Amino acid sequence: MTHNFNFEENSTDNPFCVPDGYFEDFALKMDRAIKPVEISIWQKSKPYLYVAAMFVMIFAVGLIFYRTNKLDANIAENRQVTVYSETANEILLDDVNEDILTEYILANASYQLQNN
Amino acid sequence: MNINREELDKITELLRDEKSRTDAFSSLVRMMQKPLYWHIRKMVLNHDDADDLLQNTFMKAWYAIDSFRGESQIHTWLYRIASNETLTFLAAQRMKNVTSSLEMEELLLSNLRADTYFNGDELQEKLQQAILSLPEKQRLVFNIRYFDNVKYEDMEKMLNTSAGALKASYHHAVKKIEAFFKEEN
Repeated sequence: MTHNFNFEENSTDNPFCVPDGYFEDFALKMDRAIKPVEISIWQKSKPYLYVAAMFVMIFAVGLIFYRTNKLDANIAENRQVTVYSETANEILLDDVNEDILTEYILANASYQLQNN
Repeated sequence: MNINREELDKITELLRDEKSRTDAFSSLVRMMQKPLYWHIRKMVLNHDDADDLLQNTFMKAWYAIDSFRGESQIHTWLYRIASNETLTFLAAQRMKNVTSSLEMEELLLSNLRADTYFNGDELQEKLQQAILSLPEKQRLVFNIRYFDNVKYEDMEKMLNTSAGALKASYHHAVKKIEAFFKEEN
């Protein structure tokens, strides 16, 4: 088949077509792409809540850590006091000479006799 | 190309204000989607590619709307974006798939034949084949002038090329298409 093309006579009709409803759908698709997304109060406050929760957690962990340390320090202190007191008694008992003790008892008895 | 210039001027004004920008752009899409789609489609021939390129064109315009200073009309600015997008797409496709312009022509022609959204008769298909034999920029000029009947002075702004160069380009395109049909016969 031969084709003669005459620019003056031939129709410039568009030979292409589009799926049904294409342009309506396209406009809606573009609306969705450019319109700012509506964000609920909950979604807006979410990041702040996350930060607040993080601070609370850090504070709680810090508090637990602090208390545990303080408790350990108290236990250690009590243990040291006990050790010290026990050691002191031992030192006292060890260091007190029997002669000195006898001397002290005798001196004490004579003092009481004099006063009576 | 029937574009309501007054309506476009109103939209351009509304686009400058951030509060009304989204709605104005939405109106611009509704007003310009058809002429831009057909402008792209006649170049890439395939509906899916034209759809992607049209979307890219509007998204690029949306993100660059602040840089639009109103030195040209908004529709000529959109045409320029669409033309650049289309030519870049065709260049990328050529780099990816084919090594010669003849192969590119065959690829586009096979896309056209496979496209279910082509209603043209045998003569229109032959015309598309003839148009495909033109260099891409000449094809762009021919399509705008022949199918959309756009004035050279408007084309000047749309394609950022002088009217003289556009006239020469169109004239060459017509001669080549006539020669194509003579050869075919």
